[in-house]
Amino acid sequence: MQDFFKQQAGWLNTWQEQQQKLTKQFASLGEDLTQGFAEAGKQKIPANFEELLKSQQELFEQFTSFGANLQQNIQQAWGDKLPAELLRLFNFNIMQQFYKSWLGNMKFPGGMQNPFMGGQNWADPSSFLDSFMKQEHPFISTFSNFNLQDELQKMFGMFGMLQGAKLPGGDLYSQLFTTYQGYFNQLVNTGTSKGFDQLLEAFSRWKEQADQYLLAPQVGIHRETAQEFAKAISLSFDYLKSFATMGKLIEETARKAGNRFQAKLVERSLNDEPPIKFSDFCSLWTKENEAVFLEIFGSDQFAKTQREFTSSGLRLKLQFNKLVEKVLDQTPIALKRDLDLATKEILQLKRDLRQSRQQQQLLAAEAKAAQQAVAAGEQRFEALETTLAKVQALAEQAEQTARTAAVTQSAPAEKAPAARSRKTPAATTKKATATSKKAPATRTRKTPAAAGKKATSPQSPKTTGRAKKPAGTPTE
Amino acid sequence: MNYTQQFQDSMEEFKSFASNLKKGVENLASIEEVTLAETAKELVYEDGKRKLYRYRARADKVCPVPTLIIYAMVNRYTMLDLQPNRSMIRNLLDQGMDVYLIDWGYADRMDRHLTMDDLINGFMDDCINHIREQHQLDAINLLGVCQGGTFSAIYAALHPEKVKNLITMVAPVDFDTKDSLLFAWSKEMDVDLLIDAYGIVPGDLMNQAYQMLQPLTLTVQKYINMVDIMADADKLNDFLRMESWIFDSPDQPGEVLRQNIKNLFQQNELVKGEFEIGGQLVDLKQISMPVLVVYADYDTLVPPAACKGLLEYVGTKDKQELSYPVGHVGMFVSGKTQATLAPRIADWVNQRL
Repeated sequence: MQDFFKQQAGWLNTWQEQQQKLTKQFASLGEDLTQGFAEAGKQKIPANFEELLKSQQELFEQFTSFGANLQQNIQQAWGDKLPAELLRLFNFNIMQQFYKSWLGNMKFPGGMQNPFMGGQNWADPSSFLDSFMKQEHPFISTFSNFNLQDELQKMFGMFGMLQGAKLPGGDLYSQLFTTYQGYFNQLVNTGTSKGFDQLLEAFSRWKEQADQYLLAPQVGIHRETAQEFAKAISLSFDYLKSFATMGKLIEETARKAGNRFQAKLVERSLNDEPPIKFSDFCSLWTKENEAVFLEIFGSDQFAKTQREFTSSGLRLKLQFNKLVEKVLDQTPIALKRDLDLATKEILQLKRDLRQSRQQQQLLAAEAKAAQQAVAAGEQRFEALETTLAKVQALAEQAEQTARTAAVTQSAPAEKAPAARSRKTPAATTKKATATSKKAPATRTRKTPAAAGKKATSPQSPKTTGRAKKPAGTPTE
Repeated sequence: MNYTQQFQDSMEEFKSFASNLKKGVENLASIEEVTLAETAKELVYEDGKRKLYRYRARADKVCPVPTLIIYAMVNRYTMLDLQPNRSMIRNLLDQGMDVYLIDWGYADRMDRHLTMDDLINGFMDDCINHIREQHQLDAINLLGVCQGGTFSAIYAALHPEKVKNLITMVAPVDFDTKDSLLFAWSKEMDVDLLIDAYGIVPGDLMNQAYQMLQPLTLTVQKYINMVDIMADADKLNDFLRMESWIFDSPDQPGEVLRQNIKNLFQQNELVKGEFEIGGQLVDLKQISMPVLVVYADYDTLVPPAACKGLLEYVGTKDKQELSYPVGHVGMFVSGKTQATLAPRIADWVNQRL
């Protein structure tokens, strides 16, 4: 492909050199003409004038051919790198049309008739329609619904394959559809009111004949199918009518736009400011035409026409979808509606899954909080156990101290009077027993849940407070 | 009229035209691939074809509250990062913002029944929760662009506790305007028929509608002008990048488009407080966080009135608007916005952390 571009660049180089040569010749021609005016207002036509014009026209033809090749090769070279819609707009044909139109618009001194592309400039509305609309420019193709064309192709292919050659009545269908497709092909190539009217009239006549065949009494599945096809033809007629309405509106708008452009050209010429430069010419054309188109596009009439046009096209497409599915229903091929059902199910499952995940996350969060509470309870319980162990140790220590004290006290008591020695040990024993009984009762282990509750209960600090008191006892 | 000069000028111009074309053909041959959206980022979360990216920081000091960009579904987010010297994302990163972005991907037949609830309360919410968890934050900043701005406003109304600041850019909220042909045409459209017939609406169909907003400028004049820049390889590359973005139009999930056109464009339910998704009524008064509305003065797709409408209906008192004398796309690629837009957004956010 690199070679192709190099080759094209080489060709363009030659073309550019030829243009340069011609530029000099034209400049010389201009000087001669001006000189002619100076000399008694006569036009002095140089001897090689016709040859020059011929060269220019040849160059234009070469340019056209080059443009077509370039268009094709760019599509191939860039097809996988750029979007298809963009490649469609990379339209060198439009460039040629502008070039032609610009040359056609060129004014010559002394009222001399334009020798280039006579009458082929876009100041002429009908020329615009012929050359611009029929280029199947994407803007215009918006109104011709190429997707629908694709659908038609598919349907004809499918139906021909499944029924045309195998089933009774297939030949009739094939014939009908061939004619039908012909009408649609004709439709997209029609660019004038007259053409639309003729097409509608012819289609209407054909529809009557088709209905006679399709709606004639039949038996079995063919009757139903035939009726569906008759409906499709009826919807097609509606589509053709709305297409023609839209086509006429665009045609009328293009004519108005052309008139406005033409008026602008005259005005600028009268003001001695004709759009001589190619870029000026193009910009003026765009500006003046677009103003008219946008005015129409913003009208209620256009919005309604567009609605009718798109709606009729969509109704027809829906009917085609139905017909294609009807045909495919007899085969093991999955249909769009099967796929739609499946995707709906899958989407619902995904929604359910998401909801389950959210619930799972909520539950997980709750479980985590509970686990943390349990862990905190365990920790608190362990702290309590430690405290209680200390309390127990202190109690034992206290008991031991009491015993020691009792022993210490009992020794002198043996020598003291009997009434005094009887009283003191009894009181000491009672106190010690009471302390030792309390400690094991507090140590009774509780369930973790109870421990958790306790850990969070406001009583906990009290427990700690109690534990602290005995801890300080030994130092007292 | 000096006819000599006329001939000379015309032919000189045509010579230059031919020369540009020649050089342009050489340049076309030398361009290997058109690349865009090259700022470094990593995939941090995904659900099928929908993805959440985090951009790599480009400043030493990074904003502690991340910003999630929600782009429209009707085109690709690559517009925000078209090329290094025309990248709103790069500019935000340079301002120290921590940028995340949702890529909606390319819808296909599997997305036929997808609704706004699935996108807003589903994937968007999942992404926002993911970011909140990662940063241990209750709320993050949302920056919604075009249709993504509408989604962001809806989300902020439904989940105000998760949005720290809301920024909408060229985003329609009040659809009751005739300032744009698109709005006028949408009101007349039989959207049910469209969705029933297509299921997934082709992106090309949407593109054709956009082209009709300037039918001859966008389909003819632009390509005539292209010849003038073809000789400059850099400019040609820029042109191709922009064109690649324009025609990179994902197909639209039918039910989402049905809701968008029917409930928003035609019924204008959002500002009326009648719009419902996932069984919840969207009340814009619930938008209690600071709001910044950014719009383009010459926007023919989403006119200023449609954007500014949000300010009238939100519950917050901390609300501001910011405009530029540019068009819809110009907001992101124009030289007028490159230097100042991102700093102004970053300043506004930083004052509200």
